[in-house]
Amino acid sequence: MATQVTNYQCPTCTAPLHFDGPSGKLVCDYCGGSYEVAEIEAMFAEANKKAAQTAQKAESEKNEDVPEGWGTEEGMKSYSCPSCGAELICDETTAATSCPYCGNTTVIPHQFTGTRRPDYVIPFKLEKDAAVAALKKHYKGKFLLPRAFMKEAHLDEVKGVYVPFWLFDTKATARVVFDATDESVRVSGDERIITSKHYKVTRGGTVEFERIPVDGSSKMPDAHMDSIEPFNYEEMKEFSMAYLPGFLADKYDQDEKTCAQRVHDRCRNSAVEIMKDQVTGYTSCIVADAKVSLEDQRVKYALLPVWLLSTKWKDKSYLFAMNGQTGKLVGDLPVDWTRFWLLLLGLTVGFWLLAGVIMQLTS
Amino acid sequence: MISLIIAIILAVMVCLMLKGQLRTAVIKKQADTYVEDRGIHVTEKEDRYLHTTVVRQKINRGKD
Repeated sequence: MATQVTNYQCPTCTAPLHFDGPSGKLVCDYCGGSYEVAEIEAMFAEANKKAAQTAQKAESEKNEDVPEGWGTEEGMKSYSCPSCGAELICDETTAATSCPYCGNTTVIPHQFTGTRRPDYVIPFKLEKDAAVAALKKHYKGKFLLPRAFMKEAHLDEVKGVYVPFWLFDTKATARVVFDATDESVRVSGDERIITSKHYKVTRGGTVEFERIPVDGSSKMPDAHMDSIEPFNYEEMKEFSMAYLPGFLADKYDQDEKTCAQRVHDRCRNSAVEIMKDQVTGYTSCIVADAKVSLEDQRVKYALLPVWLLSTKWKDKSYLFAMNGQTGKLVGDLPVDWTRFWLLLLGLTVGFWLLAGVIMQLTS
Repeated sequence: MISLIIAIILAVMVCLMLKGQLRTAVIKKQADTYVEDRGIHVTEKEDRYLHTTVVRQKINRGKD
């Protein structure tokens, strides 16, 4: 039976293959075989093509027979696992997953055909163990983190996800006017004379930004995705589905036009700051007027590696994200408010006593 | 009284700094990391003098 998904199976023993970050190869945990990405890509090219065609055919048939809105129930899609025949229920943006019954790594090639095909991918470099270790390290050295959280919070889920990102090359043309002052102070007799020379300073020019990442998935929290930047683009590869087995992957559900606003806000702020850096030799410099026009010169689509870790404590979920390439981990932690107020009180008393001693010594 | 106010301000600053350690997921406002060395071209530079203001402050040489 024709299937819409591809299982990446070991050519030697047919067990599931997964991409191994440290070695950069696809490995089989059962027979120990390891294969180059290009080798597996060539091996599964035909299967992926057939799966994409089947999915396309199924979609067009559905469009003919089923009234609009009936094709997908509550944004879900179902596929049949080619290995065990189980039904895989996925989000409509899911592009790679694994079968919960037989454990086979599954890629849905249809999500990456035509204009939806990513240009680049940064393969996972760090393993799940590294993500768990980074989370434990993240808890350390934080005085206001409840001690009970460290002991009681348990890891609900750790998953490696290739998150869809748009990479924007944007050119900013800026003209910024500043109110600047050059201040000098001199003492004459019993007077302090402050002389301020006021200037109108203008700086204009262009700033070229390259590959600003912005996630194109509404499921991913923007603050987490922004905070795990930067990615090292030197390790970016041409997209291949052979990097996906063993991880989850999503197709974008927010196009580049939707995401452009976030990028433009960042470019505008930075362009003004960069022009401000060009103003030197003044005591103060305040932005009086800023005109910034932006032009997106190139937008590329890439899948970037992110480990998502979720913990639960006192019925509240805490989400952490780790850059699967650099290991940078972020995520908000709870505050021990009792400790906070006790510390505030203690420090206030301490500083007050210290100030009293200093004042007595100086008087 | 002044020493108490200073103590409260310092204590609040320390506590907020420690609380800030727990919040690491924030929306980025800048994109300067993505500017290449040769990506900045300044084409307009003008510094125009407007006027001068002079402020005279009496120095109180007695006790504060």
